[in-house]
Formats: sequence, structure tokens, C-alpha cells
Amino acid sequence: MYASTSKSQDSYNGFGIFTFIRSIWTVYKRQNARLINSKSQLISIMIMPLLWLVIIGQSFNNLLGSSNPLFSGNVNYITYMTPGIFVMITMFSSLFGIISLFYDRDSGYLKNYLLAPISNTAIIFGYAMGIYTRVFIQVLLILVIAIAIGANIPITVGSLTAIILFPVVVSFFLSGLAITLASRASNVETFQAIIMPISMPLMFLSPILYPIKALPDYLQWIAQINPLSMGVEGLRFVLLGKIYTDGAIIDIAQFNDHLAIFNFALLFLVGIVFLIMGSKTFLNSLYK
Amino acid sequence: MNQIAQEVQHQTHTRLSEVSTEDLIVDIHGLKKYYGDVKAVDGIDLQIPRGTIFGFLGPNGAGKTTTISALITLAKPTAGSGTVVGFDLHDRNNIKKHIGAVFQEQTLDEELTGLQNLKFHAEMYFLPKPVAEQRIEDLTKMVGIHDRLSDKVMNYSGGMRRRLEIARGLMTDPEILFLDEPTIGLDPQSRANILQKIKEMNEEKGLTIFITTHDMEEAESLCDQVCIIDQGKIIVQGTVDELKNSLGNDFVIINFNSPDEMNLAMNLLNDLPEVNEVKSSGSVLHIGTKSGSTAVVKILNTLKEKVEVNSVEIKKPTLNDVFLYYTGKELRDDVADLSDRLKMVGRKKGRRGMMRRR
Ligand SMILES: Nc1ncnc2c1ncn2[C@@H]1O[C@H](COP(=O)(O)OP(=O)(O)OP(=O)(O)O)[C@@H](O)[C@H]1O
Ligand SMILES: [Mg+2]
Repeated sequence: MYASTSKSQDSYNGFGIFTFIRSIWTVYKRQNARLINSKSQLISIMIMPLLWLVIIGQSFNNLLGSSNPLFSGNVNYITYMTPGIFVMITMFSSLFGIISLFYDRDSGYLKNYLLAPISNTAIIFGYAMGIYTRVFIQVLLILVIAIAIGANIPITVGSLTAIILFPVVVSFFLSGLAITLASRASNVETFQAIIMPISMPLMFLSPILYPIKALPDYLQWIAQINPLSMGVEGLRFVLLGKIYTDGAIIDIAQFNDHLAIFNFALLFLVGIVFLIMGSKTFLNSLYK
Repeated sequence: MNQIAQEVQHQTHTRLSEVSTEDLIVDIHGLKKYYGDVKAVDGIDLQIPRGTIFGFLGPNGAGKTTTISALITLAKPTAGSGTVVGFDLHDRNNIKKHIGAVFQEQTLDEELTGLQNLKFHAEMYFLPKPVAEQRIEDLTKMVGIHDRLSDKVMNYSGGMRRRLEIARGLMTDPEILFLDEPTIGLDPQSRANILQKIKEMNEEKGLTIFITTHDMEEAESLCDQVCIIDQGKIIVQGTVDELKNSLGNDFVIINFNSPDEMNLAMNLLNDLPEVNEVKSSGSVLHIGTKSGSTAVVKILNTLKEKVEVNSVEIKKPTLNDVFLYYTGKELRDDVADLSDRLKMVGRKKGRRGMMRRR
């Protein structure tokens, strides 16, 4: 039926960078096809940002809003909170998004990837990119809604780039963290039991919703080393820049361009390392 | 291993040793796979000539799936060496490029359509798009799901899923296709149809097939070589005919009108040189003999005008008998007890019937 045998098809060969990227791409495409095929997943992704902004945003605004001296300056609370919501949505989608890897393992589908001549690292990156796509859609929605309800976020090439790139690094970092920590989980429930307790402190011991100053002293230092703090503050600084620092609500010492770039690069590197570690601890350990 | 099995094994070895190493698509020695204390595969040798259909049989938990996992490099062997598709057993990346597999359990993405399942599979192997499209068309027509390709798999019936998986296994044009119980859940027509296609792929394109099944008729009609494994060890290996001959006996089964007449006949027949053994149950006699068709004449002549015979049946050993003989634990040393074992088949089949795929 087929003229050529597989031996003569040398379209794949070894683990060159081209092969690697192509492998990521095929895994990624399946993740997207799953999203598009599933109406409920799509709807949930659309509704989540709305809920965050409306429920969390409004209630915290009442609590910390205009009456609070911290937010009386140029930065109103909605403006302050929006980058935080970006990071928060990124956090939940990424920590829990990697669960699809566990579902695929348990349903058997993962065997197809393991049987195919593609690298385990490429498989993990494919999943991570699939997760980021879900994050990306939500972040864009948040941006639109936030501006509509009064966030003062400048729309420039620079700010849009930051809005796209910061969630990438936070997303990779957290998907990698989740898969590395939960790689031994033998089922989905265990995965959730491991990730839940991590997500809470990550979120509340960070300047996602309120300045770190609002925390009791003994918790502040944890917030300082929380990697999400880096993501949130970096993004806030890039987006709000001067207005933000003038607003006197800065959390992590004195921010500047170098520090923002350093933050970004550090998160990115750690994220990549975590993902690679995840592919080792999770996928490689399936070959046993 | 008993003596008969050793003889068959010896024949097989002699035959396989004449096949040059390059022509062996699987050439594995001393394969072991332990899970803790469980010796799932316990030191097996496998030699499979290119272009043949190899049947891997054994009771539940014998180690069939584990062996396949090791050969397709999804399970790390505890011990063992050799080659699969010409590459070292540990050269996973190269082996993966040249094999296909249909797993025992379902491994489809139910959220995706049949077409998407096949497309993404093709992409994992970097098949050029036109090639992939052509194959999807050909293969899905072959297994008869072409008109349902745009449905989500969650809406497929069990048999359609299985056919989709078989098509997927063939997508990458592998040199060897591993089929782990491919026909479970298929209706008789689809089963026959799929087996026919598998045979065609084998004959026309020289595709090597490694198949496990609990259906002995299926194995008998399909396989060039059959290997029976139990408790992680190979019990016997050979062609279907060799294995059947290893049992030695045809059976002549005679129905009498009453147990008394049966007893009378038994006394008369016991002394016939053609008769190896006689077993009775109720008013039925099971007579073991080298060749049923010649013995039956002698037997009827002996009984003529002395005992009235109700009906006569000649039974050749089937692969089923072979399987039960070599794996039926309580009966292992007793060649004679085929009829009892036949009853056991009924029981076993009943049990299997309840173990449907999810
Ligand atoms: N991942 C595993 N961990 C521990 N034990 C395992 C694992 N996989 C298989 N086993 C054990 O190895 C033995 C052989 O199992 P295997 O699945 O290979 O049998 P099989 O011949 O395919 O049986 P079946 O006909 O039921 O499919 C069994 O005792 C099984 O419990
Ligand atoms: Mg099995």
C-alpha cells in the first residue's frame, strides 16, 4: 500500500532541536484541540476571570479601596489588583492544569506519547504550552474587563509584551513545580491533596491582592521569598512603572528596570529547570 | 518442562537456528521483568523471523503484556539482552521508530474525534501530511470506520474504538505490529474481518505480527508460530501443527445407549493395539488413539453385532486442547484427560466472558 517503508522515512532523526520543537508542537496541538472540542472547558475558562474580577475585585476594593490611604494616590485599587489577578489566574491554571498529565496517564493515552520516538522533555513542554494558552485567553479577558471597570493600565507595546510574557514564566514555573512535587502521586486525588496546600500560601503570602505590608511581620519575610511576589511585583512595575512607585505601595525594596528583567529571567530559568525536572521525575520514572 | 514439550521446543530451536540473525525481527535472550517479588517475566528467549505471525498465548497474569511492554521499550527489563527491529533492546529511540502497538487497554483520547486521534498520532511520527492523509483514508476504510471519523471517540462503540486503535497502530507503517488482545469486544464479523486484514498486511507487505489472544481458534487460523507462556516462563513453542502433534492423541468418542453397554464395549476395546487409552463417563467412551480415522474402523468392527453404537465422533486435538494441556495446572501430567479438560474450557470461557473491557 505504501511505497516507502519507515526505515527510509528519515523525516525524524535523533533529538535535534528541530525535532524537539516539532514534538512540542504536536503535543501542544492536541491540548488545544481538546480545549476547542470541549465547550464546557472553554466556557469555564471564559467565566473564571469574570468571577475573579467581579467577586474578589469588588470585595477587596470595598475593603482596601479609596478609603485606604495606600490607594488614594494615582493607583486605585482595581489598577493595583489587575496585575495580581493576572498572576493569580496564571497560578491556579498552571498548578492545577498539569493534572491533565495525570488524567492522560490514568486513561492510558500517555502511552502513545511514550511509545512515540519523541523526548519526554518535549512532551512536558507541550503540556506546559497548552496550559499557557488557557492562561493567555484568560489574561486577555481580564485585561479587557479590568479596563472596562476602571483599571488604569497603559496599553503600549511594552505593557502588552509584559502581559503576555510574565504569565509565561510564572506558568512554566508553576506547572513545573506542580509536576515535580506531585510526580509520585498515584492518582488525581493525591495530586490535588498535594497541590492544594501549596496554592494557598503562594497566593495569600504574596502581593497578589494586597501589599505585603498588610501582612503580620513574621509572615512578611515568607512573602518576600515567595517566587510569585517576584512575578507580581515585576509585572506591576513594568505595567505601572513610575505611577506605581510613586504610589508608595511598593513591596520589594526599590524596583528598577534591571531588577524587573532579572526577576523575569530568574523565574524563566527556574521554570524551565522545574519542567525538565518534572519530565524526569514523572515521565522518565514511568520507564521502570 | 516435560519431555514432549522439550521435543517440540527442540524442533523449534533447530528451525529458528537456520534463520539468520538479520532475519530475526525479535531476537531476545534471558528477558526478565520483576515487579518487586512478582516475577512477571522470568527469563524468556524469543526469536521471531521477519514477516511471520507470532502468537503469544498464556493464561491471565502469565506475563504476556509485560513481555510486550519490555519489547516496545515501555518497561525496563530487569535482565535480558538482544535486539528488536535490529536495534539493541536498550536503544529505545530507534526501536520506537519502527514498531507499532495496540495496547490491551484502550488508549484513545475520547474528547477528540477519530480523525484527530489518527492525525495527532501521525504527527508524533512526523509523517508528511499527504502521506498521513492517504493512510488515514486507506486504513479507516479497511477497518470500516471511515464514515465515523468526524465523531468524537466518546460516541464510538467498543468495537469501533478497537478498530480505530488497530488503524492507528498501522498508521506509521511499522515493521512489526504488537497486538495485545486486539479482538476483545469485537463482533464475530468484525473479528473475522480484522483478522483477515491483519493476515493480508502480513502476506502482502511482510508486516510481522506479534499477537496475544485468548481465542485459540483465532490463534490457530492466524499464527505461523505459537508460544505458550505461563508464570513468566515459556512452556512450549512451535507451529500449531507441531504443538498439536505433541499431544499425540486423536479421540474417538462413542455414545452408547446405556452405561452397561458402554462397560461391555470398554472391555472389548481395551485390548485393541490401536487403542492407547480408554476413558468413560456415563454412557460415553473417550478413546485415545494415534489416528482417529483408521482406528474408528477397527473399533466399529470389533463392536459389530455385540454392542449397539448410538453415535461416533472423531476429535482431533485443537489448539485449545494444547493450551489447556500445557497450562492446565492440576492436569499438567495427564495427557489422557482431554475430555475433562474440555469441560474446563467451558468454565474458563465463562469466566473470561465476564471480564469485559471497560
Ligand atoms: N506495573 C505492575 N506492577 C506490579 N505487578 C505487575 C505490573 N504489571 C504486571 N504485573 C504483574 O505481572 C504479572 C503478569 O502480568 P501481565 O499483565 O503481563 O499478564 P498477562 O499475561 O498480560 O495477563 P492477561 O491475560 O490477564 O492480560 C501479573 O502477576 C501482574 O500482577
Ligand atoms: Mg495482558
